Amino acid sequence: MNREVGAVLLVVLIALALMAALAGLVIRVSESDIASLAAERAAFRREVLMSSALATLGARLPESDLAEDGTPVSLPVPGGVVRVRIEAATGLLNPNFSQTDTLIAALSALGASPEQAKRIGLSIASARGPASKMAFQNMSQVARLFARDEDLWPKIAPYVTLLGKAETIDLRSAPPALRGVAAPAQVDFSGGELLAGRGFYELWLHVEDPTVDAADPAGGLWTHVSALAGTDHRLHILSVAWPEARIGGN
Amino acid sequence: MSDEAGFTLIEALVALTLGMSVTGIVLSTLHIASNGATRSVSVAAEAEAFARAGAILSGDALHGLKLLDARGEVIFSGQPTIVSFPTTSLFGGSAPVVLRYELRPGIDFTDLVRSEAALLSGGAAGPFGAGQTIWHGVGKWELRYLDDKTTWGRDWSGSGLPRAFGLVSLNAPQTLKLVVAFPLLIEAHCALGPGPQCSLPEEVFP
Repeated sequence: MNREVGAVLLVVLIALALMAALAGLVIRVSESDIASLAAERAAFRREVLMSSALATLGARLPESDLAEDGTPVSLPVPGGVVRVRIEAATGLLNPNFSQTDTLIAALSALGASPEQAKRIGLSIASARGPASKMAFQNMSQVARLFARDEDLWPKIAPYVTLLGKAETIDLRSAPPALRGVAAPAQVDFSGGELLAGRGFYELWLHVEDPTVDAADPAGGLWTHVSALAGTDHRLHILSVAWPEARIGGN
Repeated sequence: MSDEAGFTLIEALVALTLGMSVTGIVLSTLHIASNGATRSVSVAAEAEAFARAGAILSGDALHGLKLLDARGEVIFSGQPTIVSFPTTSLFGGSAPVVLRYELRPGIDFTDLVRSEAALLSGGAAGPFGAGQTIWHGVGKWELRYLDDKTTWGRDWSGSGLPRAFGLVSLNAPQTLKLVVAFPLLIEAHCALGPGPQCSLPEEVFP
């Protein structure tokens, strides 16, 4: 009789253990589903606010709220707040038009070894055609020249622009990492200059929102926008890149 | 007889009737609740499906590109069941790709299928990859395109990009259920300033 009771107890314990394991699995799957749902909602929310920000800037540029030296500022948009960094294209490296010496010096300043800087700088220069043409029409074409130096491209990419025809880097709008290779400023510059001028700009936008922050606690996802700030006080967009971690920068 | 343990026939029948009544009420309540829950879930699922598809479409339109083909015309194709346009690639390091959204009709439903292709030189699209169904709707649906005069049309025949495109059910063709707007895009060639391949007026450039 005792042996029978023991066997029954054993069966009950095994059944309980199986049920506990099953319950744990269900909870685990549910948590995973909730996490992926939250990430999906965050991505949707980011797209909506980003679209709202671009529509706001496209309708009317703020006259005095946006610094063009890369200092992040908060831009209120319908439905939330978007953090914006603006860099004038004249302060960045233009692989289509920068002088070869500037290319090599800038690559070196951004972390390339002297050998890498010379090799890549010369390969960029040799890939260019007539001055009126855009040899590089998108960033992936430039990135291909860094195929042998994959670790280097993420350090360089934030400082590259395909906007405008600047052959040198303008000290007035150059980020700190490029000021050492920038051409002397034509006018005095004390930093923090506002988007008073008009021209080509690289913008980096980051959505500030509880839903988005929860899915991106490090706050590293920035959307890259290449645009023209026109004399009509509107932002005309050439391209919007999907959000990526902003590596480097100032 | 009355001293014997147990129930009388009447008592047993009453108990049985009461039990059946209670069971019937509980089952019918459960059935009603279940129908209500099913309807709620169905409505919520439909709304969720629209929101999900809308977010994907809006995301793609936000990352759209105004590129020119070999003839100097903006790369965009808009038909009642297919729309395609170039965008920056999510995984391709800013390399442009061509996106295609296709409405595939079934017997009493329509699937919206998203697929990508490489953008070839000259503006042509390479072979499209295997499509992914991002939305499944009941009934027949078509695409509509919004022009600068705020008129919706079945095909896109204008120059440049439409201001937006949307989905419409053929059961209620006056009601657009999903509208996707492009940002204020200018041609990639505008990066070099004013020129024949840039439609932006010269005076807008500094």
